[in-house]
Amino acid sequence: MLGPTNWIKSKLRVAELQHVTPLVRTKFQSDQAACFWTRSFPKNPPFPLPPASVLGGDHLLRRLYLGGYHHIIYILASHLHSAAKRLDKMSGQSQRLNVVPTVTMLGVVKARLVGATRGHALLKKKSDALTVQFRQILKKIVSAKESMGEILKSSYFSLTEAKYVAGDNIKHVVLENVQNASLKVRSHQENIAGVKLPKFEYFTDGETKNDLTGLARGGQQVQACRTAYVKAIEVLVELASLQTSFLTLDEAIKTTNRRVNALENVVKPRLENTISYIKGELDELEREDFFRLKKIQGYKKKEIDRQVAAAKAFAEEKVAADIALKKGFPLNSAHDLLTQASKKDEDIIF
Amino acid sequence: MAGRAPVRTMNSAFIAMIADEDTITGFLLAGVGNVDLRRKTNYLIVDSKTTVKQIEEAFKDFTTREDVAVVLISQYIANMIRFLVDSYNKPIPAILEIPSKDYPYDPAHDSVLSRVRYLFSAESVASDRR
Repeated sequence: MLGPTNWIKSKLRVAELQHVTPLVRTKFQSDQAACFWTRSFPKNPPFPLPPASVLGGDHLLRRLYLGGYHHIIYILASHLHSAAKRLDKMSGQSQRLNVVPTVTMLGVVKARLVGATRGHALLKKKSDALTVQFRQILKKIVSAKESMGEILKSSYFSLTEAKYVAGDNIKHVVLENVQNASLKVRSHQENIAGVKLPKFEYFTDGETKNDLTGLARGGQQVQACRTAYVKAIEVLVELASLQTSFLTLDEAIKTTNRRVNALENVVKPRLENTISYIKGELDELEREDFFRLKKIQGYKKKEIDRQVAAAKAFAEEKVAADIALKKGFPLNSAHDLLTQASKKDEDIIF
Repeated sequence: MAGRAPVRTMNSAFIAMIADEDTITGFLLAGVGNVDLRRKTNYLIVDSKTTVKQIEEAFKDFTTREDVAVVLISQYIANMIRFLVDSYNKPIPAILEIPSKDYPYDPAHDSVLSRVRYLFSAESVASDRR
C-alpha cells in the first residue's frame, strides 16, 4: 500500500518528532543524497534505510558526509527507525484510509466521521433499550417458569381425577377423537427499538370435538380437566413468546454491541487518522507553497537590486563621459594615458 | 440482522408435543391435537417402546415444520435428546420443556432456563429471588 518513503513520512508526521523533522529537513533533495546516504552505512545496515529526505536531504547529509561524520548519520537514522517503530506499535491496528489528501476528501471524510459518530450514538441507545427490555424478559421468564410448574401440577391432578371418575379408557377416546386442532397459536410482531419480537397468543377456532367425552360418567371432571389444560396452554404460550423474545433479543443485542464496538474501535479511529493525515499533508503543502513564494520573492529582489545597480553604474558612467566631453578630451583617453603611464614607469605614485 | 432468520408471522399455528401418554391426553383434551390428511400428527406419544431415534426424528420434524409455533417436550424426554435441544437456537418454534407427571421438574436441565439463570446470576438479581 505505502512505499517505504511514505510509510516513514507518515509515521514521522504524526510523531512527536514533528518538531524535529522540519529542522532537519531541507527542501532540496536530489538523487545525490541517496548516494551519500548509502555510502555512510555499512553494507548491511541493521534496519531498513530511511530515505535521505527524511534525514534532512542533500545539504545536511553532504555536510555530514564530507565532514566525516558518518556515525552521526548512522545514529540519526537509527533514532528515526526506532521512533517509527514505536509509533507503529502505538498506532497499532488503527490505520487510515487510503485516500488522496485533498480538501474535498477532507470534507468527505469529515462527513463520514460525523455519520459514524451519530450512528454510534444511536446504536448505543438501541443497545441500551434492548438491554432494558432483555432484563425485564429475563425476570418474567423466571417467574413464568415457576408458575408453569404449579399450573401443570394442578392440571395433571385434574387429569388423574378425570381418569378416576370416567375410567381409564377415556384416554383412548381422546386419542381416537383427534381431528383438527381447535386450539391454535397465532403470532404477531412487536417492535422494540427496531427489533421485531414475535408474540404468541392462543385462540380457539371451531367447536371443541371432545364435547361428548365422558358423557356416560365423569363429564364434569373431564370439563374441569379441559379447562385446567387450557389454562396450562395459556401459560405455556406466554412462556413460549417470552422465550422466543429472549433468544431474539439476545441475538439482537449481540449484533448491536458488535456494531457499536466496530464503530468505536475501528471505524472512528480510522477516520480520525485519515483526517489528521489529510490535515498534515495539506499543512505540508501550504508550507511548501510559502517557502516557494519566499524563494521567488528573494530571487526577484535580487534581480531588481542587480538591475538598479546596473542602471546606477550606467548613469554614473554617462555623467563621467559627459564631463570628459565638456573638458575636451575623452574619458577613455585619460584612462589610457594613466594606464600607459603606469605601465611605462613603475615608480610613479599617485 | 445478519445471521438471524427473519421472524415470520403466523396466522394459525399448532402446538407440537413430545410427551408421555398422560400429558398428551390432557393437552389433546384441551384441543391442541391435529391430524392432517396423511394421518400425520402434531404430537408424539413416548412410551417404553419408543426409541431415541424416533424422538429425534419427531423433534427435527416439529422444529422444521412451518406450521408449528411452540414445541412442548417433557423434560425427561428432552434429556434423552439433550444434544439436539441444546444445539437448537432458533426463536421459532419455541421449545418449552415441561415437567411430566412421573418425573419432577429440574430447572437446572432446562437449556433456556440455565442460560437465563446464568445471566441472572451475572446480574446478581438471583440472590434476592432465591
